[in-house]
Amino acid sequence: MAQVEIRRISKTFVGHTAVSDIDLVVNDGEFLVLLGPSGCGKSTLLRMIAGLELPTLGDIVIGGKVATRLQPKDRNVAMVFQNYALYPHLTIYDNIAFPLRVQRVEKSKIDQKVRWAANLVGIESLLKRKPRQTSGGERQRTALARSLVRDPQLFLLDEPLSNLDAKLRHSSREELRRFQDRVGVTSIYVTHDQVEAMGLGDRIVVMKAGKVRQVGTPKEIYGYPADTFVATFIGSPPMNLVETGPVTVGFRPELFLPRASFEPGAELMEAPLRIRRIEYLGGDRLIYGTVSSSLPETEVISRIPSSIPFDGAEGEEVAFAVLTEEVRRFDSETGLAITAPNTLVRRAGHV
Amino acid sequence: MTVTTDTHIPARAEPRRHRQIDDVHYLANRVMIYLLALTAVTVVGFPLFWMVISSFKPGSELYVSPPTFLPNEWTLNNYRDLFVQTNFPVYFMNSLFVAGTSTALSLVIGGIGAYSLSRFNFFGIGSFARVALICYMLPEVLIVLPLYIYVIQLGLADTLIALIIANTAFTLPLALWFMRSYYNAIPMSLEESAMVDGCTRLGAMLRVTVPLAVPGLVSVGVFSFNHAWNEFLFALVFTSSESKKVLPLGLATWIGQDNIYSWGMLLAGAVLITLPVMAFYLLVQKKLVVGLSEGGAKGE
Repeated sequence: MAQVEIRRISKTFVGHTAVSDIDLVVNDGEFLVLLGPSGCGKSTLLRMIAGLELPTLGDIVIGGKVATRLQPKDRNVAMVFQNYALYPHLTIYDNIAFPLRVQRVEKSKIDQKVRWAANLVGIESLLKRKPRQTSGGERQRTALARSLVRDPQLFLLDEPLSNLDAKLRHSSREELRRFQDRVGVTSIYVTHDQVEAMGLGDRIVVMKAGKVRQVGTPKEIYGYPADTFVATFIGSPPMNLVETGPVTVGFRPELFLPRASFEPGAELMEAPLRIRRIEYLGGDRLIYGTVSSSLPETEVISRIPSSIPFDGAEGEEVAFAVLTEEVRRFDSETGLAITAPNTLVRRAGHV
Repeated sequence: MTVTTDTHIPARAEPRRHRQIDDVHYLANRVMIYLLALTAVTVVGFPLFWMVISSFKPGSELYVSPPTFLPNEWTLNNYRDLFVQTNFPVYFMNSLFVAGTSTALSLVIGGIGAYSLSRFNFFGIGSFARVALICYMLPEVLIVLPLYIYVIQLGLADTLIALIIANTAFTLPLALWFMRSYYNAIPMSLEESAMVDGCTRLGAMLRVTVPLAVPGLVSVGVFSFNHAWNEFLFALVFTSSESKKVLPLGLATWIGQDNIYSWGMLLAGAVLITLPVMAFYLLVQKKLVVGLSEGGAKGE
């Protein structure tokens, strides 16, 4: 286990900069998620930590040792690839044993470790099969078992769930997190799926175009996005943004509710909503419409849970509101969050 | 009683199959395939069969008209003469040495070179690959004379090394291109995974990439061996002394302007030339079929 420090890392390929000037500390035992749209440099950053790419500038420190120019094999990190990268010519057993065989561990010890790792992820019965005779979920577990069989000090996971179907992805996510809690190894996880990021990460690093936009716990990222990109990238449907001159106000769809559902006397920002369309999703309803009067006319979305009564119809105008303390404010020009003094205090409390 | 109503349902619900028409189609299909196979076997196989059969006939019977189909008298004299009267064993060993070494060199240089072409990207590597392919397109006849000048100046005239170099040089471009596409189809992430798992780059290549590329290497090996084994022109130009002759050249010298030294021995020699190639094919046949069909799309 180890702390990882990323010091002013940049990576430039011919013609474009994949990662620019990133500073980051991953704490010992932490599960850190790198989140961003495809092409934002998150995988490149991970590959630099693994030693598969050499940074153009900057340093990587793993466990107090500068590892920037170390070979991947000398870093004692384990990596799970998006396609799992199981060796097709070897059995599941030999796949898991591979890292130990490379280190010339003695045979009896290898056998013991392989069975321990296979048992941990529940694939003992598959050891004699070749990877192509196993399912996607089993391959993913094999890759996990292979990565943990030699006690790495750092786990790197590059979208390990993206090749699974939706249902399996859900259960694997839960398994993965439970597994990390048990093993306690520092982990860095790359994904473009915000649900995975929110569900798995102790902290999330939101990246865009090679730069870090925000680092924080899932709560911080969701409740106090650092800029309009993070505000709209996280959350489904995304945060509503309404430009009011130099300041853009933002509010989450699930907090923008019918006026009638709030307690009298609550501090509210009110706006009438002209309903364009209602989507019934079972657990909640999505109301698409346009706010006006107190706010400039803008398309917004409201998500009303089924527990709140609502009988508005398409074409009607209904009074909606959001608690003032839940309204976020951004600079319209730079997109950066404008932090009011009182929210700073609250933020400190959140952490 | 509801149970009794069930018995009134007709037993056969599925449509009847037209078995007879199916059978005729099947039969016609088979007949056509066997006829085609027979044609191919006759055209390719008969000379081969005649060669084997005739090598067991005594000299007199070879010239009988009409020719006998099977030998009246089976004899191994032709084979004995081959080893007693001629330098056949020397030719054979020379051929084996030249073909074996060229194949090994093609595999090692081609295997490693193609790996570089596939995995690394540095200045000029693309043009190098293209120039290599152009070299392959030049006919042997065109390069044999300039090459001969080099061979003389390097003091390699009348040596087997000259043949090994020439044969390797001739098969290498194809080996490079074939293996390059083969490596391209093996995902890079497998090697990266191996490197993270504790291998050096070379270790990752030897432990992961090469085992996966075995069918490709087998194809290249068969091709190289076959080429070097049958090669005639380089041998004719580069070597002259009796002790340096390879099989195709050695046997060709028995065929004179207007007479043949001994048909029996020639045919016995031809049989023995064919054997190693056949044995080699049979040995690697299974891998070869996989190699040729899978070369493009290997994937996971």
